[in-house]
Amino acid sequence: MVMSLEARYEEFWRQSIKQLNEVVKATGLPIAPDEKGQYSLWYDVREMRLRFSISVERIKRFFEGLREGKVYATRCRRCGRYYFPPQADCPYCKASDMDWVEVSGEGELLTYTVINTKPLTYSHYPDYVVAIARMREGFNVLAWLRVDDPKRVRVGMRVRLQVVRREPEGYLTYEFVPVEQ
Amino acid sequence: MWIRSVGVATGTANLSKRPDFIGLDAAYQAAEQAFKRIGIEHKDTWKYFDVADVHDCFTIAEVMAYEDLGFVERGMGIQLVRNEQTYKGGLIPVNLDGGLKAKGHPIGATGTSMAVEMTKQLRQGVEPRDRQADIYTGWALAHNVGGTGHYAYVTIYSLDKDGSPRVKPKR
Repeated sequence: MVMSLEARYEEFWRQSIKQLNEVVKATGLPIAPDEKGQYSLWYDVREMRLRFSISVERIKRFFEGLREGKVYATRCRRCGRYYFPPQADCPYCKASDMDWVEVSGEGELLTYTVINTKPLTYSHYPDYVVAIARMREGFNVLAWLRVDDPKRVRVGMRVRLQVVRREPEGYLTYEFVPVEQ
Repeated sequence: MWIRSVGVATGTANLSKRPDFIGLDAAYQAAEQAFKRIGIEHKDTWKYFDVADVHDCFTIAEVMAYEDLGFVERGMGIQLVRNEQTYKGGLIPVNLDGGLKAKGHPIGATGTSMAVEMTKQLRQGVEPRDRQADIYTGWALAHNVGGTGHYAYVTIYSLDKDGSPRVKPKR
């Protein structure tokens, strides 16, 4: 049976804390060797849980767009600069005078990397490609590139930015997909 | 020992907002400021310094540093290494202390260690002696980067209190 993500991480932490408690009981100190057994590490006996929250009030149009399957950028009405991910303020004009524009989605791959060593909370994903593409409008976007075989990714290839659901969590985000030629 | 010039600049954390990926704009701007203050051009700068420490947190970062600092033109940094010109006795000896990848990179302490190393080099007090650079102009440069190029510092050390660096003698 496949364990849910939450359950998997809970189990990981439960095991870690159990081991730590055993070390403290046996030795009187929360000190244990690192993974390679090279260095002694101090493990804090108090757990800190952290989940960031941040106001998106002034850019909520972007998230409404994702629900409609559309990707929006902001564009400064004064200088014409695009902002993606969208910003409510233009640091060049020191103004908050923005238009919401739907992006064309057409881009050309500038650079990419394949992630095969992942942080814990990304460890359930298959290897993924993080890419930067130059969009037709002239700004760059950083996003995952959805491909079956990372070996077939080439700088300069045509890509399309589209709204997807990131599974298994099921939240809306945007990804590049290769444009078949 | 005089700190003759410090250049500081910041850059965007967002890789998609960088104009290219072949250098660090923060490092280039920091170098520009630092060189301006001592009255030298941001070009062929290898000829003014006896020794330098650069922020080689990765192999490519060292090559980009040569180019951001103007030791050589963009794209030519790798030739400095291939021709052993960053070794002791080369055009610009770099990281004779081993650099970040060899001696370690304890973040904040890395910058401090660069200041210590440049001071020892210019005072000709490096031990063991086989990694002491030859001192001609009495000028040295330390290049330190934070984050993924979010900030950069270029610090220029000299045995001279005043004036601009002379050009190294031809060998």
